[in-house]
Amino acid sequence: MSSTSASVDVESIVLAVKEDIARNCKAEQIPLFDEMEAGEVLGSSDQNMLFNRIYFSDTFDDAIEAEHLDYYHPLQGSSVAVFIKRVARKLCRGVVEPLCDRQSVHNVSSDALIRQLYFRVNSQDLTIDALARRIELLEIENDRLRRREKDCR
Amino acid sequence: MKVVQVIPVLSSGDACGNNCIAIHELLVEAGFESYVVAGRTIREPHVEAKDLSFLDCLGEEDVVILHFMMGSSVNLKFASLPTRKGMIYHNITPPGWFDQYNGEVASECRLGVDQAVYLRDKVDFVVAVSKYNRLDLQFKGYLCPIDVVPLLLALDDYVREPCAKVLRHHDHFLGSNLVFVGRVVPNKCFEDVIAAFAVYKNHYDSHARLFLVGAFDSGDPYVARLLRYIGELKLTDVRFTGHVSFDEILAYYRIADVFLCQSEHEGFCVPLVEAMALDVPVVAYAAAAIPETLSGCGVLLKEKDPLVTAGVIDRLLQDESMRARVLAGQRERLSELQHDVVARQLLGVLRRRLEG
Repeated sequence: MSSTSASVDVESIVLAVKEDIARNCKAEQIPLFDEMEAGEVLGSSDQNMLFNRIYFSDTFDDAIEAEHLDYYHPLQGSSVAVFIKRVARKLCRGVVEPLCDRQSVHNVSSDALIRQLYFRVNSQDLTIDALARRIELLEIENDRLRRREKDCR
Repeated sequence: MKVVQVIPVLSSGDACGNNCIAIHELLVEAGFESYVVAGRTIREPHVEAKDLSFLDCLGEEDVVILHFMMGSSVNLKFASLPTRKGMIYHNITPPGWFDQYNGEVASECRLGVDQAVYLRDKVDFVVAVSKYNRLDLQFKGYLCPIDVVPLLLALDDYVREPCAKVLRHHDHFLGSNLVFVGRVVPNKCFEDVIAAFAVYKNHYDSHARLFLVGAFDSGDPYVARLLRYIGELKLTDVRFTGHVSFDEILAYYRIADVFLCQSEHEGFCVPLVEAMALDVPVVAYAAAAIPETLSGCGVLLKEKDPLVTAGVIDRLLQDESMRARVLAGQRERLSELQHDVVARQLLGVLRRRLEG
């Protein structure tokens, strides 16, 4: 048990906070979590909270930057070290190079797929916005026609 | 004598997997012939894990230690071994938490509870990561010796560079950042974190943001319900990060002004220690093993009232001396959880049980 714990008197802090709440009438009715329905959420605007567009683009840029794996790197060190590294690289080449190439192909394909999906999502967002605006205009028009019909009667 | 740790799922990303790897390294360093056997591995753990067939060649002189963390066929295989048997108990989330959201997970938890009861007279010793876990086992009828040793954590890893991208995105805003780290599951009571944040934002800091750092399944009805709740509270500054890398976790702790935990079931709660290691003041609800892990440090609340929690967070952020005292207490507690201290303790217990 930490000896410093006694110096933070949680009980009195809580008491002071409660007094402050009562004094400043901060009490409020917070909706209860139990009242929330646990139904379908996919496709609703709630899902936007799980997606951060700026963060997504930034992460995607990082992924693109790292997508190509180079097998060859400049060798550094003394001439003996460089020689040993070169021999080791030649020995490993048959195994490592095809792996690097396959991984690079995979990365580039994934990049292309993500890019396509992203464009698709963006275009769908634009379509949804346009449809929302159209609904809004139609509702206005509908109200106008209803009023006109009422006036005619 | 071979000392074999068996774990149903070995992942370098979770607390149980990390604990298993850390114990393996500790045993090797102490001169034991240590092995790790995993039912399956994910996210490339940096230790060579053998498959379950390795258990078939063990004899009576060997010791097998099971990491008990979930219902699994691995637990049953363990029970049938002729070796001496030990267990490291990480706890099982009570199935009731998942009943209304995910029947499959609830069944897994139920299986875990049943298997924990089944193993009660089949193990020779247990190491529980908290007294709360020991009590849980005693309720399940365990009569063998149960030692309590906290989780062995590589706290040195927390001095690594945090993710620059997260810092770039989130470190320059005006308001306070509230952070909670953990998988989005019902027992961690994310709704209470969100409710306290809503009050804090309405009354104390309109620029405040809440970061909920941890993996989630977007089709999970619990997540759906949380999102609806956030919508109902008209909150716009709540961010679910999803699964993040270790350097990203470090960055979220770096930008955090307060670590807010409202969880009601934890066998230990590693994120509390992580917050302490990164000097983030902790405000937590006193449930399960949380009071024990904090051991008097942080701000431990006995009631779960969002108004009170928000008020306490505000005090903590406004009152420099309170914040300093809380952080000093956390640093002191952290010294008891340092790798060397826990490793010594754990090695002492394991030596006694393995050689005794």
